Amino acid sequence: MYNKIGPIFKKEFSSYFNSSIAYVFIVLFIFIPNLMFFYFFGGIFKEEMATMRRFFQMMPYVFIIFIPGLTMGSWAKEKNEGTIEMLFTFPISQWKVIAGKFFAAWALVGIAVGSTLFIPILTQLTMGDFDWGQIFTQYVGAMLMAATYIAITFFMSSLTMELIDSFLLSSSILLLLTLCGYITSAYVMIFPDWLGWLKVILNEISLSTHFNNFSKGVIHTKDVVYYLGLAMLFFYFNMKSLESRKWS
Amino acid sequence: MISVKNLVKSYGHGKPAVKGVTFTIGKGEIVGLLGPNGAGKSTIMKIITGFLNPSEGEVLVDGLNTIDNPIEIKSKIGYLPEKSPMYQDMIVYEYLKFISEIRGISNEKADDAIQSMIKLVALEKVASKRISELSNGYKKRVGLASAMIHDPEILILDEPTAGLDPNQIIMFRKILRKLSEKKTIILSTHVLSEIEAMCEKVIIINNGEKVADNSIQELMKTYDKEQFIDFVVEGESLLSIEDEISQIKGAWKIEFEKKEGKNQFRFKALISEGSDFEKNLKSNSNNWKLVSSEIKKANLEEIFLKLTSQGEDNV
Repeated sequence: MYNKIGPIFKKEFSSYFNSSIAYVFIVLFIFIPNLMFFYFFGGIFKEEMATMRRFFQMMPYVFIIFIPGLTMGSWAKEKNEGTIEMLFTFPISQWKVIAGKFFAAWALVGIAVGSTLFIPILTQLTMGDFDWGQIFTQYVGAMLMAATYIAITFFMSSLTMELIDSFLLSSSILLLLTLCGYITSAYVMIFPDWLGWLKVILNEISLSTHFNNFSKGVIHTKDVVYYLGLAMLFFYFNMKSLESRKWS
Repeated sequence: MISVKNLVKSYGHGKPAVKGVTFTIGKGEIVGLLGPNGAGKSTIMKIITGFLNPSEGEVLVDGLNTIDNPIEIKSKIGYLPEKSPMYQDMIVYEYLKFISEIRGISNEKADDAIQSMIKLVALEKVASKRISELSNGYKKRVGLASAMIHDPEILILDEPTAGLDPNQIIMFRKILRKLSEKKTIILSTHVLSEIEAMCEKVIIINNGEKVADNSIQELMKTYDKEQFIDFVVEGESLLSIEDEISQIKGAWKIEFEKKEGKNQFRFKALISEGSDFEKNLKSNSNNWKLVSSEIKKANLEEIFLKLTSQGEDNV
């Protein structure tokens, strides 16, 4: 399996670094959330507790901009520049091409997310007593959530020809899927009893609600299944959308 | 080796781009797929390479169907799409390395394969350059190298010389001639000299239909009654002359060729043997007068024009 997914992964991963996208992504990723964490929200110093909960609570919103920015070209660029014609006349299954691209994007997000590890390390040195179990869970949750965001944005990119369309479509869908959970908790009053079912549905489909437990340091099977299931569903949609191109 | 049967391809709900095309290509043949722009040549090639699926009909390569056995068929084929799309941000060598990996060439053999391609298409000077920095000619050569790196049995080249200058075209033909000794090659073009220089057999496609499928000699024999009149007229305005000449009956197609001195214009009219076009021409001058006319035997160019000018004749 490697001998086919591997070259795609390698090419995609290095193409992020051939352009400035990977550097911009990593630098902004370290800079913006940290700025928000330390200054705007008062963060760690205000709470006077060694926890990264607030930092991770921002993650679903940070991803709405960052991940579509990273993956907008996954298919839109291939279609726009015609390279898709090369790619799909190579003797390689479609799912392996998607998998190679997916793992490359996921690895880059992993590097960016992983690069924030200096916060807990620094905090450990200055404030001490960090709950490393909780930190581990938060990072695992962030990576699972990133996988789902990548799968969704890949599918959206496969529906478009232009990078900007791909970016706008992806971030709008992610914003909707993220905010629908926020609405249910922030505006409880707009859900009268008879609309209770809608609140449950919005909560269950929300990308951010399922991250709440991870950011508290708790792993629920339900949340893991949600992220993996949704990622696989959109992976499947991506395959179908690319397949339909052959018949159109 | 390649058998195309009743191939139909429709894009969306529009008119089919390919309408029931059937042909076979034997092992080791060099076949020219000829037709005007938009005739359906590229679509046929995209179906053979497995990039598109046919709406109806099938393509068999060595007895295998392109829909059921895409991976096996794709490993036998080397394909150069019309615009030779490539990952522009990659270095030439790195790109060829990527293609060799995806084509399953082992690490030990990959380097040799890349070096021999670089030598074959003369990429030595640009091997360490980024693809985006290359000229059109070099990009085509990189495209050709990537199509051949796995030593495929079949080479499918869509408009391989489009956008190249005359020197590059000569070089490209030389490379193809070298390859033609051991490969089955399908090349599409709308340039006739390409076919005459390269191909043993020609398949002419017009409006999505096959209008000829012969060796060039057979094609000339089949249409040996076709002729054309080469004539020069004198008059003031080319536009009004063209307008009047196009009304004259008896020709398949009338084309303005070039300006010959002051107020003289050379035309070509495609006719069949026994046509009274010349008689009509001589008796039909208004704002112009006939300077000279000569009936000549049709060559491949005129046959092609006749076969692809359906619906345009004014016989």
